[in-house]
Amino acid sequence: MEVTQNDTEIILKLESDLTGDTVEELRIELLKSLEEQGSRVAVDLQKVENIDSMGLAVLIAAKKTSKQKHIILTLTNINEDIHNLFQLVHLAGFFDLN
Amino acid sequence: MDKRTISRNDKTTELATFYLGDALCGIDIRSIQEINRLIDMTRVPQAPDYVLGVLNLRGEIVTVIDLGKKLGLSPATITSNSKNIIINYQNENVGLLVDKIGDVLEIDTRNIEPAPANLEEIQGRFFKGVLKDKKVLVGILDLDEALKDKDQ
Amino acid sequence: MIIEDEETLQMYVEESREHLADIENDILAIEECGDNIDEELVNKVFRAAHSIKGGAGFMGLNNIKELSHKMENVLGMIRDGKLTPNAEITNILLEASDVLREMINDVHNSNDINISQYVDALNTISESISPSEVSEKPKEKEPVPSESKYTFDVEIEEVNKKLQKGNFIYIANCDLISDVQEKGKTLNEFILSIKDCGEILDCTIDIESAGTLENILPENSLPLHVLFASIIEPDLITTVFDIDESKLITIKDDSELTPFLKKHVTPTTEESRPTIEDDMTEHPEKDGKDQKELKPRVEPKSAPSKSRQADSKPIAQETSLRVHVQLLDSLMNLAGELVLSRNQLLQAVSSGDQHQLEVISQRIDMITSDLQEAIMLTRMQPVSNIFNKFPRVVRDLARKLDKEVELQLEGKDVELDKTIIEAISDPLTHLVRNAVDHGIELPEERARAGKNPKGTVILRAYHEAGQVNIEIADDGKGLDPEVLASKAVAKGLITEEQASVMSDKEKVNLIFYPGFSTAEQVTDVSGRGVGMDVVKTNLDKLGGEVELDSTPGKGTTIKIKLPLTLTIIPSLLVSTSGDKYAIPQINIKELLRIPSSQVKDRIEKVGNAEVVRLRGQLLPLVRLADALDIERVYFDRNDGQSKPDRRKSIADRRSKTSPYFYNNGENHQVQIPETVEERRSGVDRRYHASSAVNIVVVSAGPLKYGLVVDELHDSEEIVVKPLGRHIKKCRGYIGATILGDGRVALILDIPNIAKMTNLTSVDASDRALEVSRAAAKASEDIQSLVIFRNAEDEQFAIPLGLVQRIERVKKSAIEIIGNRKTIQYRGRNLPVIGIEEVVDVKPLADYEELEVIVFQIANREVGLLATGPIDVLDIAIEIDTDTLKQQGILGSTIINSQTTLLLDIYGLVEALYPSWFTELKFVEVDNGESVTVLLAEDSDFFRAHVKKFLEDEGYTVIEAEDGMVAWNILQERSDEINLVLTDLEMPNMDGFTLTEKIKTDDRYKHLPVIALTTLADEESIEKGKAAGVDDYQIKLDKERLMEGIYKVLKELVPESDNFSDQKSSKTQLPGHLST
Repeated sequence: MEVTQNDTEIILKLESDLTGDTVEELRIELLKSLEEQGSRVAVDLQKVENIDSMGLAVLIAAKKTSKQKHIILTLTNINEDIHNLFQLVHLAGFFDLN
Repeated sequence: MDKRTISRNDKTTELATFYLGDALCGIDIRSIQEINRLIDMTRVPQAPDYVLGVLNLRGEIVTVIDLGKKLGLSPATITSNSKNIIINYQNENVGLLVDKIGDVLEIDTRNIEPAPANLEEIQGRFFKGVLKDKKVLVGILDLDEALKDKDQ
Repeated sequence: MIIEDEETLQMYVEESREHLADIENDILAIEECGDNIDEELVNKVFRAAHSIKGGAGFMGLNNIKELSHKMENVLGMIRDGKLTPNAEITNILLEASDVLREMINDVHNSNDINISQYVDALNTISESISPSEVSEKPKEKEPVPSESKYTFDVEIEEVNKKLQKGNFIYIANCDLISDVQEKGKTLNEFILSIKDCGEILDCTIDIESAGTLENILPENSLPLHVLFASIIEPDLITTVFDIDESKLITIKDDSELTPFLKKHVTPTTEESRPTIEDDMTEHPEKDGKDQKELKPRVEPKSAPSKSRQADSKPIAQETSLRVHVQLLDSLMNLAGELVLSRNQLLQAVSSGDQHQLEVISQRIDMITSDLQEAIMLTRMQPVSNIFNKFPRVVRDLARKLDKEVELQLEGKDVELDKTIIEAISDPLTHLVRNAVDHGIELPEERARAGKNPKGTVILRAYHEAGQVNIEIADDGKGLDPEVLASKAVAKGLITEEQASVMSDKEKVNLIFYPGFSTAEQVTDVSGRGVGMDVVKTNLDKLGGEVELDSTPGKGTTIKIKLPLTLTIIPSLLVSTSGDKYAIPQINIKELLRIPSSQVKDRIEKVGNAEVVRLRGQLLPLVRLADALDIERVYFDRNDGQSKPDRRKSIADRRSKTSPYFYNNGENHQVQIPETVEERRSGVDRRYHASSAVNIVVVSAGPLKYGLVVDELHDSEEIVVKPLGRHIKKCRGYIGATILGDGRVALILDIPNIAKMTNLTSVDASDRALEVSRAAAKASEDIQSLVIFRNAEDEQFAIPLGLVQRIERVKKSAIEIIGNRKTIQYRGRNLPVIGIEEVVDVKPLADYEELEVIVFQIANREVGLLATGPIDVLDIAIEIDTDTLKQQGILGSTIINSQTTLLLDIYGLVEALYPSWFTELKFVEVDNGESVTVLLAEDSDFFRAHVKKFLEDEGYTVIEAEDGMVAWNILQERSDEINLVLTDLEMPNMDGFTLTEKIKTDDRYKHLPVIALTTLADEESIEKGKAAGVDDYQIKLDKERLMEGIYKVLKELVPESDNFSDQKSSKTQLPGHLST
């Protein structure tokens, strides 16, 4: 995955589906990014077509942490299927998706 | 009068007419429950003088009133022409003694004019209006006013 | 899912209604018991709930089943002593039973009703004791950590729809990681697999339970909860999508789902107590409101809003009746008998057996009556049907208002016709609520006033005088008549003057006037003020009456009287003047029939007051014909017709217009025939059986009197029917009935007949009778005088014999027309005069109540105004004719040490109404000019008096001071004399002897003898008749005396043509009498 950082936020862009090992990677990155209070973190899921349960768990955990630390965590470029799924399980609101 | 098909629209209505003394009066036929010959009545002592008595109408006690007298005429003379018109007044059946039954008239309500001060000795306030039918004046009775008790 | 079979369903409904009938009162009773649990009672309610539950399950009535099940649980706990029924629990049970009843009554929609709050509340109760957690519990075990909460955001209706379509509702609780991932599925796939077998209603991930970034791996849990609907049955569902049975919850109805619905808050959460106002405003929309909003109301304050709902419902519009099995058996028997009789009848008719027909018709008669009665009885319902809801009403209302009130019910078994019961339910409710709301004060107030802090309201029903009475009495603060009166004046309902003459009771009854309300704002608890006149109107419609009695500080009693319309009452049929009337049996004490021969002994008369002696007491008599003002008739046996009866009194053996006649020593009287033919045929109707007197002794409260009627007929049970509006106002009738022959008979109002005029008789008449009888024995010339006053300190007297009647009237009853006074008397105007109008005396005292002494003068009735005390004395008096004499005064005397003026009633009347008399005079002079009368009278005063008016009329008078002198004069001047007027009590020779002598002497027996008397009792009359007296007259009854003389003289000349010569001033008298 690609990690970019600019003045306003840290962007974690995934290169493949959020499954299996990728999940672990993301988790570690997220742990690192969610250090500073008041910062912004974005997870770019443009290239993600599938998310498995663990991946979902990680995202959820990350969001929880970000809330606690007053960090704005967003998920961007989500495709329609994933978006629908999130809506189904009432996570769309949780993740502040439009 | 043989009834031709009556076209019911807002403007026409059927009037049942009858004589009280010399006055020809009419009431909407829909107010009438039935018209009977006079049968034996039981007198009611101490009742107002216009009450002739009571009779048994299929189990209901119906008061029979000398309508003419109630409206100020002299007491009715009962003849073979006298009839008892049963109407429904304030939830009870009341019988009105009239001198003679006239025809049923189909009238145009637009032709109804205000009642004169009196019609053949009956005060105008008892009428809703008058109508001329073949040169005869018919007074359309205001039953509420006519049957009202003095004390009411 | 509700059973299709309507019949079975209805049966269930009926049964359930039965179970629910007493449930409310039973629950209240259970509460009363408190710790002393009445196991039987609790069991009773338990069984009721149990039965309802059982049937409901079978019928597919899920809500009913659920609710009754919950109730059963709670009740079971109470029975087992695990729970003490306190106020909160009772309230919840009551509310639940209300809803249960609602559902039973609307059974088809029962499954749609939202009962969740009641279920929750009941759950709370039952679970608060049980060891399990309080949080909402799904039925099966849940693997999900119990602390986790998850809710679905779904509409209950949607769920219900699914259920109704035959779906099963499931909740799948899986862990995405352990259940899904581990099994090699993605979330997507998992979801899809669920979608394959049904419809996902909602799903949610338990975010809370997800781990954190740090510990996520070790945790490995991400709970997912899916609510979905599927037609696949529970047994199969687990195979269809791979899930562990333990992770699946099957939801059978929406109530089970409720814990999982969004916004659900656990019952143990303390909510802010809703205030009364909140309750009120929420109340109207409560049912059927936003289904998602569920606030279980554990708080007691929720009760009142529910109770309002409870009693604003009409009594379940039942189209069925509860009838005692015994009654049904009677009906069956009667029907059976009727069938038998009918068979017999058919036989008898075809065989022509007359005797048999008679026997059978009697039987059928009896059976029909019994049948009629039995059927009517089925309609009679005990008043407890409506009374039973009041304990609840009072309890709830009292609690809401923080008052302590106890309700006592009396007369629950009093029965009323079903329709009347239904109609009074609302008015009664209103009145009971009023009593609690506005009558009973707050406990502190009551304590301060020295009353028991707990107020009492008594609701009592009883029969009285043929009516049903219902009383609502409270010991509250009562109504202040002054406050009410001033309020009424302020509202323009009455004027100040009217208010000033009202009694307290009248003022307090102002509350029934339309537009009245003393509450500053109308509380919506009882809508008072707005309601009272509505109550009255409703009762009026039923023909009932309502009356209020109140003592400020002590309490208020409202009395309702209900008429017997639609009821059958036993009665006696009578007839008078050809018409039949019915007298309610309840008023009848006994029947009295006086054979014609005894009439004159038993019936006595004073003036016009008739009385009969009944076992030593005097019973006043009222002639029905008179009371109703009908023309009296008698039935003439000869020509079979009813004719006007001109007899003045029952005992009057002579008609007013004719004197006695002899009938050759036969010792009875004969009516003077009206026509010549009758006279010749010697008809005598008085001694026929039909001349007997029929008296119905009736009572109306304390008042007892005898009603004289023409004929007595049978006793019959009659249906009371109301009279129309135009007749309703007639006092005298309580209704009418239709007789067997189809004719209408009026039913008499016995109390009112006694009060028909607004005058009441004074006791003087009774006393007068006693007195006059005693006096008859005396030999002195005793006068019966009526003593009275005008001004307070001036005394007057008038002979009793002239008095028709003495009545008491209210000053206000006197009407003034022009400068004449009158009062209403028996439907006519009675002119009344005051002594001071003619005589120079002090004016009438200004009392509220006055006496009117009624006379008959110049064929008219006139009343003399007087004031009490009225006394009747028999005294020998000395009359001073000189001093104090003026028109209208005959003289003066001393009575009881006071100067008393003796009134000349004729003089008085003549002065005021001279026109009355001129006619009379005219008639008399023509025929009386040269007639000479021998007047035997020992009292100078009376002799002079009678002489005077004889001479006024143109007669010539020869005076004699006693019988002896008269006899002598007669012998000397017999040819001059046409007529003898004699006093009875005289020294030397009394009138009886004189008469005898005259009548037994051939020379004089043709002479008519008129006896003058001061008394009018039968004994004297008898004696006189025995002596041969032709007629009796009262000494000072000038008019009648003149008439009497006139008639007597006329009789001597039977041929009419002698009278045709009107021009001649001389009467053509038979030869030997003419001068």
